[in-house]
Parts: sequence; structure tokens; C-alpha cells
Amino acid sequence: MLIVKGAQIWKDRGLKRLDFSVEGGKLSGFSPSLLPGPHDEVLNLSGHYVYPGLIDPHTHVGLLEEETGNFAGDDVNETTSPATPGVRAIDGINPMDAGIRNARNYGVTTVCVMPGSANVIGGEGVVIKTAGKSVDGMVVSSARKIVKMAFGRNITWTWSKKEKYPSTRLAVGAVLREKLNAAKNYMANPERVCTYEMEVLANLLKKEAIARIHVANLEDIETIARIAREFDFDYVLDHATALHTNVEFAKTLKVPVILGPLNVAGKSFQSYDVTFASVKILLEAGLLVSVMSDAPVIPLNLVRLQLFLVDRYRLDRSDILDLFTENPAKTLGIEKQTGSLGIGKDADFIVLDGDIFDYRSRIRSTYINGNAVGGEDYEMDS
Amino acid sequence: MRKKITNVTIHSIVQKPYKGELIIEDGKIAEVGKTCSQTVDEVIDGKGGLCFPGFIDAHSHIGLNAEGYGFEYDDVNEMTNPVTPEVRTEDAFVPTDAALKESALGGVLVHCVLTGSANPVGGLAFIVRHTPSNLTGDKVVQRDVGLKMATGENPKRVYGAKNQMPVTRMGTAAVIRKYLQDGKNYIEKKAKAEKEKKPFFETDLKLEIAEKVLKKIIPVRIHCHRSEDMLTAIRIKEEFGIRMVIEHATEYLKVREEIKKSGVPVILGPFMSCRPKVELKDMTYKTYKGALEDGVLMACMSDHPVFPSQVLRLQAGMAVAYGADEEGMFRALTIMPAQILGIDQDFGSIEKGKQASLCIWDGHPFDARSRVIWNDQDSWTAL
Amino acid sequence: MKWILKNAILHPVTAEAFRGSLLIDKGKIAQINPPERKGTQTFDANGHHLFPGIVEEHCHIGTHGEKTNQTADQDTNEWSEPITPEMQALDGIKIFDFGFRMALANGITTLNIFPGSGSPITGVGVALKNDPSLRFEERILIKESGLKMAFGENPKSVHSKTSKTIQTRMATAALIRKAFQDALNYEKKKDKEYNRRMEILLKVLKGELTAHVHVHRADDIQTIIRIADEFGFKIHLEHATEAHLIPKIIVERQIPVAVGPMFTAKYKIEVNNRSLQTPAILERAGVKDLSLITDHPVIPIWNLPIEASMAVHYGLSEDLALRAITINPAKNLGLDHRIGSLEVGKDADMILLDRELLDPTHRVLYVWTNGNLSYDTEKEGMVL
Repeated sequence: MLIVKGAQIWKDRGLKRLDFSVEGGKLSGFSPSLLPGPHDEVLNLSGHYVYPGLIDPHTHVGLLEEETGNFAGDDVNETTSPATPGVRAIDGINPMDAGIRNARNYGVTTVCVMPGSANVIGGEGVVIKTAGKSVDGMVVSSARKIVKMAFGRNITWTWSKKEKYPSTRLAVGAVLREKLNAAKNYMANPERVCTYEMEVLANLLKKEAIARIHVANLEDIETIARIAREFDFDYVLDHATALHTNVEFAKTLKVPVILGPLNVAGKSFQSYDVTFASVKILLEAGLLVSVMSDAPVIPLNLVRLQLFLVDRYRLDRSDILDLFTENPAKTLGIEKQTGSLGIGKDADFIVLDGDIFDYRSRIRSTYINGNAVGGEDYEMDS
Repeated sequence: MRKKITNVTIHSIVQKPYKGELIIEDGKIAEVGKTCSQTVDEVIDGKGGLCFPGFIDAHSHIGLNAEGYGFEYDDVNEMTNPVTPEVRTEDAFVPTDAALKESALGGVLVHCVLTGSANPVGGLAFIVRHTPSNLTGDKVVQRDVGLKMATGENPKRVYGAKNQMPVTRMGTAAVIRKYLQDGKNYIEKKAKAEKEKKPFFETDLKLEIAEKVLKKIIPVRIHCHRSEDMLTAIRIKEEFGIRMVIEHATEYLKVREEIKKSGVPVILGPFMSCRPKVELKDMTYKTYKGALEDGVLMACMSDHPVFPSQVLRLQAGMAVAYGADEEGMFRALTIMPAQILGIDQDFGSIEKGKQASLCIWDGHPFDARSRVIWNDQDSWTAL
Repeated sequence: MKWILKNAILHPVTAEAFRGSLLIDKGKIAQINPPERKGTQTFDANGHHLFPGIVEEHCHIGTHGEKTNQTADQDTNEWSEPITPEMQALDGIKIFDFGFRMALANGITTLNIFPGSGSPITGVGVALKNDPSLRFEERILIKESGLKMAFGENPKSVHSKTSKTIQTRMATAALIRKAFQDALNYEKKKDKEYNRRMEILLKVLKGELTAHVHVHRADDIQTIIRIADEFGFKIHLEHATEAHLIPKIIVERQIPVAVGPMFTAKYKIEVNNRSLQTPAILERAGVKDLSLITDHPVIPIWNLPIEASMAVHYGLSEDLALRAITINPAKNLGLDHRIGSLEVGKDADMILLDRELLDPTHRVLYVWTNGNLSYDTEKEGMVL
């Protein structure tokens, strides 16, 4: 058993002076003072701050690798058909990617990795911890199944260049309707021949899986909401760049949103409405809000910058930390396993030498399942 | 909340204009007449203006090519397949298109948004009205109101460039026929499956739409300029027993007898343009006069952005200059398009019980100097 | 107009911070801690932090169209030919571009705008005062602020596709050498017709114009130093991603270095060695002439002070971090007599913040340019 003593720890939405113990990779006890037994290992963290490991619910790390140039490490979009529900992110992830190393060294202990947004149906996403050499061993198995989708101009941008369907937004919804209708036929057909593609979509219609939808503009969010009503499936809005421009509408959707990447210029037609203010507006509207890096769009070694910038809107700091911990955990369905410090949860935590909102404070170490796996100094050494 | 509009000349379309008043309650016309008796919460003084029903642009691509954004917002034509009945304009519509606000300034408050004319079988149209909301959902009047089809030069040009059927007018007709025949077969197969109580029938979304057309639930909205294309369209209509509206109908005057006989409504325009295509060679404003005289159900279109919806009224004014009856042209902007689109129970005239889709003008709408000074949706007013 | 800004914590950058007041007269800082005078308009800073307006030495605001069509309003790279010194960023700027407002709202009051990095020699930059109350031509501080050149992957990837003149780094170097040799030959020629392309290159050769060189890798840095030595012209290094691997060379030659953008992914091979520690390593090696840049839109310009914060997080001194976004870029542009610090006689370009500039959670409250209030965040909102 590992006994961590002396630190200020972030628990139940506040910093508290508590010791805690780790057993079998799980958090096993919290108390103002824990007495170690003769066989216990003791870690003294006086003067340090412990926070739950950060969770990034929308990344492409491992799929769109850094430090490899443009092509060799790019496995993010299977742009050979506008609907590829049969492809799985897990089959393209390189756990040695610098992006994943960055994640653990800078405090991100869990990431959701998904295919890109060039296809209406991109494939299956996966939730992984950020340390390990084999991706299979990194999978967070309690997570709900994920079907990545994309809507709007990213799609038509990709496919109009190829002069292929769907080249306009007229047809983007049609592609999704056609595939979901095929899945309904498949489920109803007593003589069906099993295909992996259709099983993935059947999971969605049976609500075992959730759709994760890349969408930016308000009119495209409306289209998604319409189709989700027609076919009755659960979904999360990813990016949702313009959702804050109609709060009343946002409230009616009753779906989780994952905002970001927010630290970007208005470089494309999908980011005209991008602003950190959207976090404040949608939180105040009562939505379940998380923030994504879309790594490597924003590399995961800069995940804390987003925290600082959200703080400029002077929100409650517990609410800000939730954006990067509990809220994404709830959205991914892993809140019972990780995302906060509590008995029985995975021992995923980060140790800082100061308050997480102080830009001078450094992440001294990152723990995943109770093991020290990284920290800012690890990066220095490499 | 009840509002009264006073001190206006009411152009109800169904009656001769008269000085009067009207009362709006829950967005509907609660009372209209020389004087209105109900008590109200607010009185709007129309300052002697002209109160018209909002004009209806029965054929437009507004919102599919949002103003000032170029190709990135161009979602008019899905030119990758000649048969795309499954695509819907509602999915591509941009409710913040600046043209919608501008059109309201020109008195146009209702638009039927269709796909373009690149494909022999285009896609599903829907109807929107002008509202201040930035949501499509708040603007929808009716969904899936017609299936767009196209004949003539456009499909030929698009697919000819790809060496793909259709490269001739014959090919276009064949593509349309095949789609409708597939639909007929699909209906039969479905009926058979039902009769035999089969546990499973494989639905096809493309053909579900053909079923709606063949069962006359929705009309075909067919783009035709030349006389022969209109006759081909009517031929197909007769063969399959479907409902049809002919769009543009540039050479209407050459086949006016045949069209009148067929009972097909026409949506004429946009004639306020140049003639960049061969099939537009004989375009003339006199067509409106002819159609009015023939008594066919006729509407005047902008085809926005081909011709801006904001000045649809000027095109109607030009028709009057070329001999069309003025009152008839007002009907071509209001009640007749409402009838063609099947929304005349709610729109197209100022009558008790209809939607209060209204504009007050400071002068005659066909006079370019006139302005809309109030409408029922915007908080903006020049009253 | 004279007015007093009182009760602020003044951070002059070139001196220690202190609590005090400033007298502003005719758009300039006229006096520090002036005596109270009756009748002079006074602004109470309520004890907040006053810094000089931030200076961005390298961005593409205005040539890159912000929040607009991806091709119609993109005028950063004239990639039709590899050598285009006659291009002026000034001619590609959209005056009412939203980027200017974004910069102002975040306290950036001077912008040096360069053409892009798509060609070995892309054109001439322009330095602008980001003051919306001035007419556009009046905002120009330096019409020709430097000649932009580029090495490495960008010119290679662009011109292997467009003009088909470059396949390797060797060709980039060769084209640059040829251009300067042409300029020397042009100068010697008698009865010559005026050639703007050659005239601009001659200005560089005569030291009237500095070459600002986009360069990432250490080998590319050494190549441009080699060429500059051959022809004897002055260079500044832009990006200088691997400068921390060869700090000695930079210190010996006293080459100004503009590091950044620091917050992007390692999406090109040539930036694989990017490190947030680069500024700190350079400082420890003795580099004083350090500035930080965002290269907006590569990263949004509001990140400029945050780059300074992160450099401090990784060991850069706070003093140099502040200088790197104010007085140092001002000096590199030859504008340090007018901007970059709170000193008597300088333009009254000032920003008032509720926390210190290096704390990335700060909010900009007010921005003044030339002594006039140009941005009031409470009224106009944050742009972020």
C-alpha cells in the first residue's frame, strides 16, 4: 500500500489537507492523518498540491502523430468512403506517439481518441489511459462505446475536392440517414449476414453506443438534432462552436457538449464563432460542458493554458476544474472509475508544487493506476 | 397579446383595397375590416401606409448560398449523382443568410427553398418564413413540400462534362422515368410484402420519396425553360399520374394551350436577367401577361440568388409594364404561390384566421422608391 | 489634451515597478508622478497594473483574413514565383480585418506584419500602430520594416508544387544567392531601368533594410548566416526553433532572435525540437536580444503575453520575458525611441490589467493608444 502524506488535495470541489492511500492501483482511503503500516510505502508531499488526473474527451493523439512530418504518422481520416463505421481508432493508435507522452507529462491521464472529421461516420473511438506500450492494456473498459460522426463543412470540404458524394451539406444528412436506415433494415432482417459496420450502427440504435458528433455551425447542430430525433439515438456535440449563440435552443437539446479547441484563430469557416465565452454561457445554461484540446490541434503539453484562459471569464474555479475532470468523465461514462479522487476510483492523480491556476507551478509527477508515469521534469530529461 | 394596426389601406388580395384596421393575436389575424371593435394591448399607427400580405417567393435557393461567403457556403447543387431525391434543402439551409433580412425589406416574408437544377432528380424542398431567430427550426413553415427535378441544358452540361448519363434531353427524361419506375416497383414490392405478412421489408430512403410522389402526396417541381422540355414534363406526368409544377416555364407562350389543358401550375421567372444560355433566348416579360390571361395558377419567382429576392416586386412591376394586370401580379406574389405550395389556408391574403404575415409599405410596392416600413416579425420599424 | 492617470502600479519594463501616476500630453508620456493639478482630467486606475502596449514583431494580421473565406481573403503568400522582394505586406492588408480588434482588445498596440514564408524571399513587412482612431495611412510606423525571407520546409513544399523551382534546401539557398548577386550586378550596370525588385535587395545589401529570416532548424540557421556573411547583410532570426541547440553562434554574432509561435503541435519535421525552454536556454547562454512572436494566425495573437508566461514557467527571467514582448521587438524594429516602455517622451500606448501581465489569468481592462482610450473591455467585451 502507498500512503501519500502532507499534500493539499482537490476533493469534493475544494482543496483539503488530507492523506490518502493507494492499493492495487485504486484509491483506498482518505483521512487527515494516515498512519503507515510496516510494509507500506510512504510518499511525503508536504507543500504540494494533488489534483485528479485531467481528462481530454476529444483527441487524435496516437492517430495523428507529432514529430513525424505530414504523412507517415497520419492515420486519422479514412477518406475512401464518406461513411466508415467499421474502422476503429484503436487499430491506428501508436502508444509511442509524442502526443501521448506529452499528455502524461503534462497531467492528462485519460484521453478519448477518435477518428477525424472528414467522414460523416468516421468510425469507433476509444478511451485510453496515457501510459503504456500496448494500447490494449491502456483501454478504459468502463467507457461507453463511441461512434464518431461529423457534420457540416468539414465533410463537404473533403468530398467536394474529390467531386464525390456528399459534396454539399444537402447530402451530408442524407448519408447519415441512409446508413442508419440500412442499420434498421439490418436489425429487422431475420436472415441478416453479420457485418461489423452494421453492428456498430446497431449498437448506436440500441443505445449501447453514443454518437460523438463533430459539428460547428448552429444550422448543422439543428440538422443533427433532427436526425437524432428521427432515428432515436444518443449523442454528444463536439466543438459545438456556435451553440452559445442560441442559449434557449441549447437548453432544449439536453445533450453533453465538448467545446474547443478554443485557443485558435478564426482560420476556417467553422471557427468564426469560436470564443472562450462559450464555456461560461453554456455552463450558466446548465449544460454538461467539457473542454477539448483536439490534440494535436492544441498539443496536450498546453492543456493547462486552456484552464488559465477560461479563468479570465472569472468562473468558479471548481467549475473550471470540472471542465477538465468530472464533466468529461461523465460524458464518457467513466465517472465511477476516474475523473475525481474518491475511494475505489483509479489512482489517477497529478502532483504540483503549487496551485494549478498559478502559471509558475509545475507538474512534478503524474500517477496513473497508482504508478508514477511522468511529469514536466520527465520531458526535460528526454 | 393583441395588437391593432390602424390608419392603413388594406390590400387583402381577396377584396378591393380599402382604408381599414386589423387585429393580430398570437401571430394570427383575429379581425380585419373598416373598423375593429376588440380591445387591444397595443396600437400601431400605419401612418396611411399600404398593408400587404407578405410576398411569397415560390422558387428560391435562399440560405443555400449565404451572401458574402462564396463557395464555402454554396450548397445549392449536389452535382455528384444525377439522382439525389434523398437530399434536403432543410439540412443545408443557413438561417443567418443576410439575404433573408434583405428580402424582408423588399416585402418577401415566405420562401420556398429548392435544390438547384443540376440533377434530373434533385431533392426535397421546404418552406421558410422570415423570423428574427437564428434557427432554421423557428423558420420552417412546412417540410418536404416537393421533389425538385430538372430538364434542359443544366443536367446535360453538368453530367456531359463527366461523360455520364444524361448528356442529352433524352437521357434526362430516361433518368427521371427510371427513378419513377423504380418507385412503382418499390410500391408493389412493399404491398406484396405486406400482403404476405413478411416479417421484414427492406426500406429504401430514395424510393420512399418516389412513393410519396407517385401517391400524389407531394408534387414534382420540374425546372423547364424550353417548350419541348415542358411537353416532356407533362408527358411524364401523364405516364405516371403524378402532381407537377413547372418552374421557370420561359417559353410558356409557345405551349400555353398544352399547359392550360394539363392543369399544371407554373412558377414564372426570373425574367429580370440576361440570356446566358440558349434555352433563355426567347425569354420575355410578356409571359406573365399571357399566363394571367389564360387563367392558369401562376406565381412569380426570384430564383434567388439568380435574381435577388429583395426586388422580386420589381420583376412583377416589369410584368405590368409589359401589359400584365396589376392586380393579377399581386396575386402572383401572394395567394397564387400560396395555393401552388399548399399553404393558402395560412398565407397569401389578409383574412381572418390566417397568419399575420404582413408588411406596411410607404408607397406602391411596384415603385422602386417605396419601402417596407413595418413587418410583423422584426422589432425594426421605420414607422 | 492633457490628462493624468493616477493610482496605478506602473511597470515601465525598463525599470522596476512602482505605484504612481503619469501625465499624458499630446499623446505622449509627459511626466512621471506629476504634481496634482486642478482642472486636469484624471483617470483613477484603482491600483491596477499599467504596462506599456505590447509589441508583436511578427504576425500576419490583415493579410490573413480573420473569420472569412479561406481563399478570397488570404493574401499572405504570393507563391507564384520564388523571389518576390517587391511585394509589400501593406498592399495585402484588409484594413477592417477583425484581427486588428482582436489584437487591440488583448493589449497589442503595435503590429509588425510580414508576408508569409512560402518563398525564399517573400517581400517587405510593415509596422503599424494598432490605433483604430487613426486613418489607415496614419497608422504606418515604418513602411518597409524588413525583408522577409524563408528557409526550410515551407518554400520547399510550396515551390515544389507551384513554380517547380525548388526541390531541396540547396535550391532555396541558391535562389537567394542568385537574387543578391543579380542585385549587385544591377547596381554596376550603366543606363539601367529602375527595377524595384533589385532596389529592395540593394537596400538590404546596403544595410538600410534588415532581412528577417523564417528559419527553424539549426542547419538552416547556419546556412542563412553563411549567406549573410558572403554578402554582408544584417539578419534577424524568426522562429529560430532550434536556436537553443546552437546558442553560442547566436551570442557570438549578437543576432536578434524572435522565438515563437511556441504553442503549436510538432506537425512539421523541422519543428520536432521545439521546446518551451528555448527562451530560458538562450538567456542562460547570454542572448539578450530576444523577442517572442505569435505568427498570428498560426496561434491567436492573444497568446503573446502567455508565451512570455510559459517561458518564465520554464526558467526565463521575468525581466527578459517582459522585454521580449515590449521593448525588445520595438528595438528590433527601430522603434524603441517611441514605444515599448513607459518612459517620458514615448507614445502613450498603455494597457491596464487587473493582474500582472505575466499571469495568464489577467484581464485587460483598458487600452490606450497615443494617449486615447481605444478599448474599454467592460463596454466592448473580451475578444478571446
